[in-house]
Amino acid sequence: MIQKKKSKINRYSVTTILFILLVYFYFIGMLIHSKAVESTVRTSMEKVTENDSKDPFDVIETFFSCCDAAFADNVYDKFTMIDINGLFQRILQRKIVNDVDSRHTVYQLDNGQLTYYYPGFGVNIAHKNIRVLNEYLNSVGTQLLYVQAPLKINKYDNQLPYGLTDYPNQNTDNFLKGLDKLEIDYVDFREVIQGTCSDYEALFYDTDHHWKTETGFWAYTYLMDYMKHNYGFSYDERNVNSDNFTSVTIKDSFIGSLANRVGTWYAGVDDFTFIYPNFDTSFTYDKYYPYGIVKDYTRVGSFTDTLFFKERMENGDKALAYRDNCYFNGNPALVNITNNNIPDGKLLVVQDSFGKSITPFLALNFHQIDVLDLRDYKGMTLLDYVKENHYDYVMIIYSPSCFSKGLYYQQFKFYDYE
Amino acid sequence: MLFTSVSFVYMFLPLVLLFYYFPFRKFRKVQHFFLFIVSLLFYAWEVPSYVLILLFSILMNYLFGILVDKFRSNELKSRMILSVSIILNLGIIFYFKYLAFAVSNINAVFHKNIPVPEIMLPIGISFFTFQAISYVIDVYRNNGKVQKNPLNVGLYIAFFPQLVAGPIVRYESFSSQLENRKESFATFSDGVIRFIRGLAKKILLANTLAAVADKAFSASKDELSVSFAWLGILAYSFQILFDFSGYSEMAIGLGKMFGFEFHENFNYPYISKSISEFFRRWHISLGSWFRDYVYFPLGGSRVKTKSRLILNLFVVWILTGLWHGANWTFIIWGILYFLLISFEKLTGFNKSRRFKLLHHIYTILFVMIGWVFFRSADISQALYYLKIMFFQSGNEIFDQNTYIYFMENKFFFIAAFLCSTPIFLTLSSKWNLNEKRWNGVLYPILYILLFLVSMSYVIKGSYNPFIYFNF
Repeated sequence: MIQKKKSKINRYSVTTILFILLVYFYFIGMLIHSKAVESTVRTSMEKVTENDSKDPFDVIETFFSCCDAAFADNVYDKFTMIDINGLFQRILQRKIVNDVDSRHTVYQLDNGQLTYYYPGFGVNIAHKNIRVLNEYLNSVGTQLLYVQAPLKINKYDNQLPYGLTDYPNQNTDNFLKGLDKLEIDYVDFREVIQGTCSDYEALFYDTDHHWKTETGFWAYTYLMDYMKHNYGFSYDERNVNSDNFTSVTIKDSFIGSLANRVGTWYAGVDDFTFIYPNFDTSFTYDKYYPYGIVKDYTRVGSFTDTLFFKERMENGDKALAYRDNCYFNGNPALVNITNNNIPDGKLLVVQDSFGKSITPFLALNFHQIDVLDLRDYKGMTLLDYVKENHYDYVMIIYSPSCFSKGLYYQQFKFYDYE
Repeated sequence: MLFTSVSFVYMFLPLVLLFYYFPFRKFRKVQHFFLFIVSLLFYAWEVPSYVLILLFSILMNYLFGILVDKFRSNELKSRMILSVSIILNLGIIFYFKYLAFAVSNINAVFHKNIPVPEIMLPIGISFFTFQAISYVIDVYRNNGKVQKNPLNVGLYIAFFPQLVAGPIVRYESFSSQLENRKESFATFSDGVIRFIRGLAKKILLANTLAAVADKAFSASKDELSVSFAWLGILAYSFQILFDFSGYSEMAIGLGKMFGFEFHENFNYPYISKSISEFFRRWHISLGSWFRDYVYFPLGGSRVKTKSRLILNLFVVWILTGLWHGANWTFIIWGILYFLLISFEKLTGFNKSRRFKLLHHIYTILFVMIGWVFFRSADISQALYYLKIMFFQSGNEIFDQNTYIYFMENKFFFIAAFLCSTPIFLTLSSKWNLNEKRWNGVLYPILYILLFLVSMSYVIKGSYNPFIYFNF
C-alpha cells in the first residue's frame, strides 16, 4: 500500500483530486463537443458501412472503432495537448518525433526546420508508367513535362540529423536518371534553386513540408519562361510580373502540417503570404467528387472568387493550420478551370500538394486547365483520362514524397499495368 | 478497449466511476451487476463477437463450480467434473490459440496438406481462461465458496481491469473481496497513483523503446550491426518489462479505485541474481498459477528422484512457454528457462551468495537471450539475431542506426534503467523524502505532469503496441 500517512490531506490525496478534476474536465469537454463527436461518428460510419458486411457484430465493431476515433479527434483543446507533447520532445532534445503512422514521423533538420523523411525506394514502376504515358502523348502530339518539386532536404546540404541517409533525394535522382534515358523532358527545381538561390531554407515554411507561396509563384514564372523557350508557348508577360499581383503577408499566422503533429511549442509558427492577381480575371471553376462524374460545386468569377479561397485569410491575429488551402481549398481529386479571357491552350496538371501554389497561376495563361490528384481521383487511369480529353500539354508536378511507399503506387499508376 | 486510449481515460473511466460511486453507492449487488456489464462493453469494444466466448466461458465455469460443489462428498465424481472442466477450458484455448499451429506442424512433419484454419485470437483468452480454471479448482479445493450467483462468477472472470492482460487473479483472493471489500478515499488514491505510474511506464517508456526494438528486429540480416542488435534487445527488454508491468500497475490501480486489491505482478525482476529469482519477480501471478495448479500437484521439488524433479520442471516450463503463444520461439524460450532453472536447482546456484555481480550478469544475459527468442518471428530469425549479437555473423560492429536510436532515446534508456531498479524507493527511504515538506508539493505536480504528458502521447496518436494482448 502506497499510503502510509493517514492524514486526510497528503500528497496522494492532492494528486488524486487533481487527477479527478482533469479526467472530468476532459469528460465534460467531450460532452460539450458531443455534437462534433456524433457527427464524426456518423460520417465515419457512413464511409465505412458503404462497402462492409451487414453482420450486426461487424456493424457494432465499426461503430466502436468510429467512436474511438471520434473521441480522440474531439478531445477538448486537443492542440494544447499536442503542444505539451511537443514541449516534452523539445526538452528531451528529440530530433525525430514518432507518429502512429511512420509516414508522418517528423524530423528536425540541423537548421531547425521540420520535415518528413522517406526511406530508399525502387522506381522501376514509375519509369514504366511514365514511358507508356509519354509514348501515347507523343503519338497524339501532346507535350509531357515532368516538374520535380524540391523537398526541404537540400540535395547539396541535407541538414539531416547525423546518421540519416538522404534517401528522398537519392530516390528522386534515380527517377530523373530514368527520365534522361527515356528522353522525357523535366524541370528539376532542386537544381534550378541550387543555381539561382543561396538561401535554400528560406524557400520553405519552417513548420510545413511545402515550399512557400512565394516560392511556388516564382516556380510558376520559371515554368512559363521554360515553356516559352522550349515549346514556343506564348503568353501575356504581365501575367508573370509580380507587380501585377497583390501580396499580403500575415505574420505568425500559419501552423504548418508538421507543427500540427508536433505542436507549436516544438515547431513554432510561420508567416504566411497570400498572392493573387490585381488585374481583371474571369474563371469558371468546377470541382468534382473523386470519381470525376458528379460535380461537387462550381464557382464563377474572378481569380479571388474561384481559385482563391479568401476565408483562409480570416482571423489574421491567430495562428491557424491550412492557410495554404487558400488555393483550391485543399487537394481536390479533379477540377476543371476555364479561363474565360484566354481563347486557347489546354493543359492537364497531375499534381500533389506542391502544385497548389503553381497551378492557380498557370491558369492565368491557358483557356482550360484540368487538375488531377491521383491520390484521390478514382474515375479512371491517367492514360484513359488523356485519351478521353486531348491536351496540348501534360504537366506532372510531384515532390519527392511520391517515392514513398504509401503514395508511390497511387501517384504512378498511370495505366492498368497489373 | 485500451487503457491507453482517450475512450477509456476520458469517457469510460469517468462514467463508470460516476455511476459506481453515486447512484449505486449503497447497492453492492447493483454495483457488481454494473461492473459486469461495463466489463463486457470494455471487452466488446475491440471485437464484439468474442463477448460470446467470454459469456460461454463464464456460464460453463459457473455450472462446473456448482457441480463440483454439489458432488463434493463424492471424490471420484467431483474429480471427474473438475477434469472435464479443465479439459473444456483448455479445449477453448487450444481451438483459438493452438489449432492452427498444431495443424501446420502436423502438415510439416507428416507431409500432409490439411487446411490450416484461420482463427483470430480473442484478446486475453489465456488470462481469463486461467482465471476460470482457478475458479473451479479453488471451489474444488475449498479455497473459496461456490458462487450461486452467476453474476459474481462473471465479474470475477470478466472484471475489466484485469480481463485482457492480467494479473491473473486467484478466485480465493477475489471471492472474499466480492462481499467484504471496503472502498475508501485512501485506497482510491493509491489506485490513482498506481494507474498514473502504469500509464507513464507504458506510454513513455515501453512505447518509446518499442520503436528501437522494432527497428532492430525488422532489419534484414545484412543491415543489422552488432551494436544495434544489442541496443535493440536492450530496448525490447525494457519495453516488455514496462509494457507488461505498466499494464499490471494500471490494472492494480483500477482495481483499487473500485476497492479491490490485486496481488503485485512484478517486483523489479531485472535486479535478480538468478533465473529462479527472476521468475519469482516476473509475472508473479502466472508463475504462482503454474506453481499452485501444475507444479505442486505434480509433486513440485519435494519428490523422491531428481529425474522426477526435472520432469516436473520440464512440464511447467513447456506449458509456460506455450502459454505465451503458439510458436516454436516460445517453446524454445520455455526450454531455455527449463534448462537454466534445472541447472540452478541441481547445483544450488540460485542459493549461492558469492560473486553477486557475476550472478547478476549471468541472469541478465540469459534473460536477454530469452527475449531474443520471445521477440523473433521464428527460430531462424532468433538464431541469426543471436549470431549477430555474439559477433558470429561478420556484420559491422557499429552503424549509424545505433547512434541515431541511442541519441534520440538516451533519456528514455536512462529512465528505463532507473525505473527497473528500486533506486527511487531506496533513495526516498534513505533521505527520508516522505517526511519532507517540499515533497508534498512536488509529488502531485510530478504525477500530474506524468499523466498529462502520457495523455498527450495518446491524444497525439503515437505508436501504441501491447505485447501481452496477444497472450
